[in-house]
Amino acid sequence: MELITNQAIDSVRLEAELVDPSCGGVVTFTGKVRNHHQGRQVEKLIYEAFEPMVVQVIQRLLSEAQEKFPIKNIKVVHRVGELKIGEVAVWVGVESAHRGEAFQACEWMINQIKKQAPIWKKEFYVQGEPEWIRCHHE
Amino acid sequence: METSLVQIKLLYFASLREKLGRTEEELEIKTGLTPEQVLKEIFPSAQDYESWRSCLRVAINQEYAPWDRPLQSGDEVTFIPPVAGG
Repeated sequence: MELITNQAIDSVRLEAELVDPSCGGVVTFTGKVRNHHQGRQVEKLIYEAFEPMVVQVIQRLLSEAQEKFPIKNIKVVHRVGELKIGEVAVWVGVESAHRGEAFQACEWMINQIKKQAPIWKKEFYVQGEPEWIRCHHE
Repeated sequence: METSLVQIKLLYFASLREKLGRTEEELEIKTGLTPEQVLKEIFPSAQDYESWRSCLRVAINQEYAPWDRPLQSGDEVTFIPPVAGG
């Protein structure tokens, strides 16, 4: 699967591709659309992306992850376009010999994507006007 | 000394795209102008400029760049509103 897609993300199929026999630990993160934001009921959302730059940023982050953590494989897929509640927006998967680095790399990657990827989210609510979301980074 | 003019391309996304009502434009600017100075030309009102300047980042040719980097002919400049991916 491509790094950015407007098709539904199949997280089960993506995880099934992490099968290196030297790896004992597989850690995945699945980011889904939730039905609430700051007390408001969310109906749907739209992700907009500066796609060529997203690809560059994520490819750079994938290389950085390999340098920072002793992992074997790391993959990312981000969806764009209109998403409904419960749909998968982003998937990160890591496999490594041991679990420690897999957990660390997976968390690091999703946090970096949130900070750096030129992707924007417009939320549509059951009541009231839609809003472009500003993320609060930890 | 002659000041030469160069062409740059600007790309707009999300809230900024909605504010300006366009996705992209070509601008002719004096060579060496910075993204900060270009933003001042787009938002001549001080209030608008301050408000956008405080929340945008800038990318030049698809890489994050400092606001004071002098622009060159053919540069693609993207003002990046607060991101919310991941």
